[in-house]
Amino acid sequence: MWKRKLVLLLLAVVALAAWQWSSRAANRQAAADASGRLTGVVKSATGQALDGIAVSAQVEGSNITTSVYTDEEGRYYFPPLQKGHYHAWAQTVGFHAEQVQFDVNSSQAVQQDFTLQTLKDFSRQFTAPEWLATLPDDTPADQRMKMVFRNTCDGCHPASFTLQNRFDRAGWMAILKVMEGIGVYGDPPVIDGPGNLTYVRYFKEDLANYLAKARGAETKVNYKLPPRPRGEAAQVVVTEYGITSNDDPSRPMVENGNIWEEGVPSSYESRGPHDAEVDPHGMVWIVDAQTNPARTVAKLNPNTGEVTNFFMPSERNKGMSMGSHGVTIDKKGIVWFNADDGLGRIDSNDAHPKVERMMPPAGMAGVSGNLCTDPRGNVWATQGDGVIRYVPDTKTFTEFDHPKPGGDTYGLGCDSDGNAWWTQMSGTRYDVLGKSDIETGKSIEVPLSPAPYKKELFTKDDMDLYRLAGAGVNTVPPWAQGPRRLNGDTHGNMWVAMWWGNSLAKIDIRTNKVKYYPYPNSEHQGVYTAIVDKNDMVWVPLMNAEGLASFNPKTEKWTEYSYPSRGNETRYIALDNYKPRVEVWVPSSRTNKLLRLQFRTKEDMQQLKASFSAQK
Amino acid sequence: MQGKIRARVNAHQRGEISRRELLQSLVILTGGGAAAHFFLGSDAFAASLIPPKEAQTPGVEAEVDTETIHYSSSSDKYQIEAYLAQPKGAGPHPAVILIHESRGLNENIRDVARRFAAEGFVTLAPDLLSPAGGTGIVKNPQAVVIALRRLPIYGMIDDLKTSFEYLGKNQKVDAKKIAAVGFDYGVWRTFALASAVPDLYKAVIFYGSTPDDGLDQIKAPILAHYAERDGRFTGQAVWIRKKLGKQYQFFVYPDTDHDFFNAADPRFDPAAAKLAWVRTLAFLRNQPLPTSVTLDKNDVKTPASRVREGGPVD
Repeated sequence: MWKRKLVLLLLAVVALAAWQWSSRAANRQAAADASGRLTGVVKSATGQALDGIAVSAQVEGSNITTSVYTDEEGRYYFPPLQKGHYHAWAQTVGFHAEQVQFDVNSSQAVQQDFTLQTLKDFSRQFTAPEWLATLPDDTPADQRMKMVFRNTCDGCHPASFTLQNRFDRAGWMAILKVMEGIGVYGDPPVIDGPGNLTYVRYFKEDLANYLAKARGAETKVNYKLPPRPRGEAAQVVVTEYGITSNDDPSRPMVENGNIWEEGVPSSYESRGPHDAEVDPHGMVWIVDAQTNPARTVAKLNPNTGEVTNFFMPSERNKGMSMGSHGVTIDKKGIVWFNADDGLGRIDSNDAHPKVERMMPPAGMAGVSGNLCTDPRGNVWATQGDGVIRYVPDTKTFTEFDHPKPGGDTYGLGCDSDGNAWWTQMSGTRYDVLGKSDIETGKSIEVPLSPAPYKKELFTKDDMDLYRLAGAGVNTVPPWAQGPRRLNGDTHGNMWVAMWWGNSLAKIDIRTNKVKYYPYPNSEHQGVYTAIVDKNDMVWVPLMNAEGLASFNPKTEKWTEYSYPSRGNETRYIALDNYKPRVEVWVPSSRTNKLLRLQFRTKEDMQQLKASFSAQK
Repeated sequence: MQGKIRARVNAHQRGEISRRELLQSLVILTGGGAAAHFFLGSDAFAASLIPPKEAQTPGVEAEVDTETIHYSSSSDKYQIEAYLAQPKGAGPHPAVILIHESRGLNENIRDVARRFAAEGFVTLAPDLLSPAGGTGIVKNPQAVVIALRRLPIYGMIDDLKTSFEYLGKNQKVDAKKIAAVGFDYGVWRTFALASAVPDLYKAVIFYGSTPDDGLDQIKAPILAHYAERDGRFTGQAVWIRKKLGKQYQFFVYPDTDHDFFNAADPRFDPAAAKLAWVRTLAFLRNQPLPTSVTLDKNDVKTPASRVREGGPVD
C-alpha cells in the first residue's frame, strides 16, 4: 500500500512541477515574444454592435490574462500579445459570456469576432452597487432597512455575494443567526461571545423580513442594466496576474471570477494580496494580510508573472510566516512592511536581497499594518493607539498617540510636511483623524462631519443603539463617514477615502479645513483608499464595485474604470509613477490576483486602429 | 521583578500605600491587570506576601467570615469549589451569587465577595473552573481563559444552579432573596442563570454579553452597568431593553472603559465604580438608586478622579 501511495505522491509532485514549469515557461515566452495581434467585433445575436464589452484573453499555460473593451463600433484592439494557443471570452451584463479558443501564430492580426446571446437572469453578473440598486426603497420602512442592510451587511460582504442567492424568511434568519455571533474575519460563532455584530442582533428580525421580501423565493427583482464602459474607460488595458495561494504556493487559484455569470466566488481560497507597491525597477511587492505558511512579503515580476515569496518564520505562530498587512517603498527603493510586531526591510536594489527586521524598544507599541514614507525618508506605521515613526538614519522609533481615547487606528498617510495622519473609523470615537506634530512630539485630532442621512427613518431605539454601540469597521450608524485609507499630495493636502460616506475628503494640512467630494453614484461603492499620482490625479479603489475611479482635483471630474472579472475585493492601489505614463496596480484579495491598468489615449486608439487597418 | 513587588508590598504593610495602590503597582510590574489579578489570586509567592486579611478592602476584614468551601456538582462527578463570605450576624441575610470574569476565581472576586458580605449579603463565589481542578492550579491568566473555554458552557449553568440551591440551604440566608451578580464573562452566565432559575431574586451585571435566547423566561429584575467606550457590550443594552422592558434597567458610565469597576485594572474608574457599587446595593435593597456619588478620603486615589451623572439613557 505504501508503495502505491509513494508512486501517487511522486506523480503528483511531477505533475505539479510540470504545471509550474509550463506556467513559468509560457510566461517567460510572453516576455520574450510579444508580437501577436488580436482584434475583432462583438455583436449581439441580432447583429447589433456592442460597445463597452470586456474581452479577455489568456494564453495556455500562463497565469496572465489581458483584457480590453470594445469601442462604440463594437470593435476591440489588444496590445501586442505573445504567440500561442489562446482561451478568450467576451462578456457584459445581460449576455452570456462567449468563450472561444484560437491560435496566435504570426504577426498577422487574428480577427476573432464574438456573438453574444442574451441571458435571461443576469443577476449573478451584478456588482455590489448594482445589487444595492435593486433593493426596494419605495417606503420609509424600506429605506430604513436598505440603509441598515448597507451599513450592517455590506461591510463584511459585498452585496453581490450576499444577494446572489435566494432564501425565504427562515433561511435569511438562519444566516443572520450565524452572522450575529461570527467574528469579523469569519471566525466561528461563539455562543457566549461579545456579540461581535451587535447591529445584526438588534436588526435581525427586520432584516430577515426585508431580505425575504427583497430576495425571497418568489421575489421579482427590479434589475436595471448598468451602463457599460465608454470613452477613456473603454480604452484601458487590464492585465490580471494570478498570484499563487499563500496557503500552498504550488496551487493555482480556481475561483478567479473570470466568468461573471458564475457569480462571485463563494469562498476565499486564501486571502490573497491585500496591499502592493511598485519599486523603481518595476517589480511589484505584495503583502497578504493573513498569517500563512508561505510568505510575509512577495515580489511579482510583471514581465514573467513569476512570484518570489519571502518567508520570515514567526516566533509566535510556529510554522507560519510573520504576519504582514501593509507595505511602502521609499525613494531609494527600500521596501518596508510590518512583520508581526516589527518593521521589515528589503532592499529592492539587491539582486539577492536579504530580509531584515527592526523591533521598537520594549514598552513601545508594536508596528501595525499600514505604512507610509515621508518626504524625509522616515517610515511611519500605525500602532494600536496612533502611529509610530522609524528614522532609518538614527534607527530610532517614536510613538505618537491619539490625543483622545475610544477609537481604533485604521489607515495612515504621510503629508508633504513630514507629518503622518491616521484615521479612526471604529470604536466609540470614530470619524476623526489623528495628526502627528513632529515639532512637539504630540498629536492633535481633526474631526469630520457626519455623513448625510435621513434621521426621520430611524426610531428612538435605533438611535439609542447607534449612539451606544458606536462603530465597528464593518457595522456602523447611518451617519458614519468611515474614513479608511489616506495619502498626501505634494501641495499640502491629505486625501481621505470615506468608505461609508461614499466620498473623498481633502484636508488642508496647515488649516485642517475639510472639503468633501461625494462619489457620483449614490449606492455604496466602497471608496477604500485615496492615493495621488505624480500628475496630481487621485486614485480610488471601489472595493464593492469591481472597479476603480480617478478624481481630477482641477476639474473635479470622476472617471470610473471597470475590472474585467468579478469578486475582486480591492482595498488598495499601487501607482507606478516611474513609467512615463502612470500605471495603476490593484491587489485583489478574494480572487488572488494583481490587476494592472494601463491607459490608452484617444490618439493611441486611432494609431492602433490604423495599424490594424494597414495590416488588413 | 519580585524585588520590586516585595518593596511595594512592604510599603503597603507599613501603611504607606493603600491596597489598591499596591494593586496598581502590580498591574505595572506584572505587565497588566489580568496578570496582576492572577498573581494575587493564585501565586503562592503573592499568597505569602499578602495574607488574606491584608488583601481586603480597608474596614471589611473585621466584619465578615470567609472560607473556601466545596460541594458536589449536580452530576456528582466533581466538587465545586467556592469562596463564601458571610456577615457576622445570625441572619437571615439576603444573598449574592458572585459570577466571575474569565480570569477565574481570583483575589479581586474574593474582595468583591467580602465587600458584599460587609454590606450584609451572604456571598458565594463559585469557581467555574472547578471541573478542571479550579483556578488555583492553572499556570497563568491566558491559561485560565483557555481552560474556561474548554468547559461545556451549560455545565457551568448547572453549577450555578447547584450553587443557588446550596446557598438556599444556608441557615443564615433568606432563600427568597438570593441574587446574582456577574462581571464580564460572568454576565452571559448571569442571564442564563436568571433564565434557568425563576426564583432568582434579582440580577446585576457589569459589562458583558447576553444570550440570544431565553430572556423571555427571566422573572428577576435586572440592573446593568456598562462602560461608554465598550460599544460591543453596551450597544446590546438597547436590544435587551426591547426584550425585557421595565424589568431591565441600565446605566452607561460616561468616559469609562470595559472593566472600570476592577481596581486592579488600568481602566479602573473610581468614581464610576463607586456609583455602580452604591446603585447595586440600593437595587438589591429595593431602595431608590443614587444618581451621583462623592469620593471620600477612603476611596482610591484615581488615575482620573471623576464623578459624573450616570442616569439611564432614556
